[in-house]
Amino acid sequence: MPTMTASDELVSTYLVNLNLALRIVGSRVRLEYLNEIKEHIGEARLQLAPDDAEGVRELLNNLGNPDALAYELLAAQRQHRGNWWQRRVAATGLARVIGLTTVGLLAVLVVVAMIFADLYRPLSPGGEEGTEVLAPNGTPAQIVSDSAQMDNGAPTVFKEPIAKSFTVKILASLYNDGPSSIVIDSVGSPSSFLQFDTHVRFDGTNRDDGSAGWRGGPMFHAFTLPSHHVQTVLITYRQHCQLDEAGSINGYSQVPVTYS
Amino acid sequence: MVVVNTDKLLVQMRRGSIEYCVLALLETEDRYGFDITRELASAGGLVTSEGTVYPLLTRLRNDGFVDTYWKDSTEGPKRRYYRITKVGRQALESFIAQWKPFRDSVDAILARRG
Repeated sequence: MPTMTASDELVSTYLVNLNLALRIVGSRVRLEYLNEIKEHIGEARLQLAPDDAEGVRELLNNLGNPDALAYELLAAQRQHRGNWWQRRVAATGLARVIGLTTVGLLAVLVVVAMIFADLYRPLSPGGEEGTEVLAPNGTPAQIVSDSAQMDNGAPTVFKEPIAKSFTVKILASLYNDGPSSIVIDSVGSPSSFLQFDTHVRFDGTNRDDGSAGWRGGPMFHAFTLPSHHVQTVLITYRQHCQLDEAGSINGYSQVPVTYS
Repeated sequence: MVVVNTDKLLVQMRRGSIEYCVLALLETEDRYGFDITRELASAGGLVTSEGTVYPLLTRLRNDGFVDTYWKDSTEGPKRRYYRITKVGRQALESFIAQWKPFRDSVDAILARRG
């Protein structure tokens, strides 16, 4: 059985730390980026002796601090989303915008009709950090949105589980882009629907074994968020099905936070 | 006394220009990620962390300025090559057309300092 060299251990530790830091970006982007970094390390190591730990240390140092890279990737992702919408509007022109709006309104009307027919109730707790909807037995709800659109930043749309209530989990990141530290006093649920059993935990370790869900960290308490730092929180709540309410697709992009 | 944060200054100068440096590198030949990264790093001052080049490449691909393909390597596993697209070439031409007069104007102002 091959043993790990000191160089292998350095690389392994770096990739673990990078994987952890990348929790602030979507899983698809995270995996793609990790693969690119692995390819980069593989290429660079071809030019080094197998046990050249010093060379590997320098290579990883040149790649950059995992937290800084994650923040850079997140910023690039956000910039791309902004550009995507700008290009979209610029490219389509007014007639197309009107056409798309009409189609969108029709789609909403169809969905509302389906809600009243007790067939389907959409949930679109979007957010790039990730959201999932679970039936009472813990199985994930079906995703009904188009994967190509999701790649372009459109929110995920879940099909409501068949139950009286269901669980929603949202992994959200709190950013302090200001010049000084702030104290985050409380974090709430972004949903305006009737809900209960709301819990907020620090961080959420993605279950990399492929099963659904996140493992939350310690329970939330007031904490200091330094300037230009990110803190991920896992918000969990249960939501009643309200079949008499005429809903539309709901995308959550902001989390209610009080700070001082 | 005003203290200038040189790191921030460099970041601002890189922003908006580095992606065109990548396009310029790809104009003459297709390259793989590690190759692009090392070229930029060797130019000095263009990248501080080599890992930041990959989000940039992803953005260029998402914007349609480059596309990718896999190619066998004699040295190891397959490599993902980046290739400039027609849109990417047009974007590069536009940048060059704007960049030269802009650079000359800045240089002219700075030259007045004597």
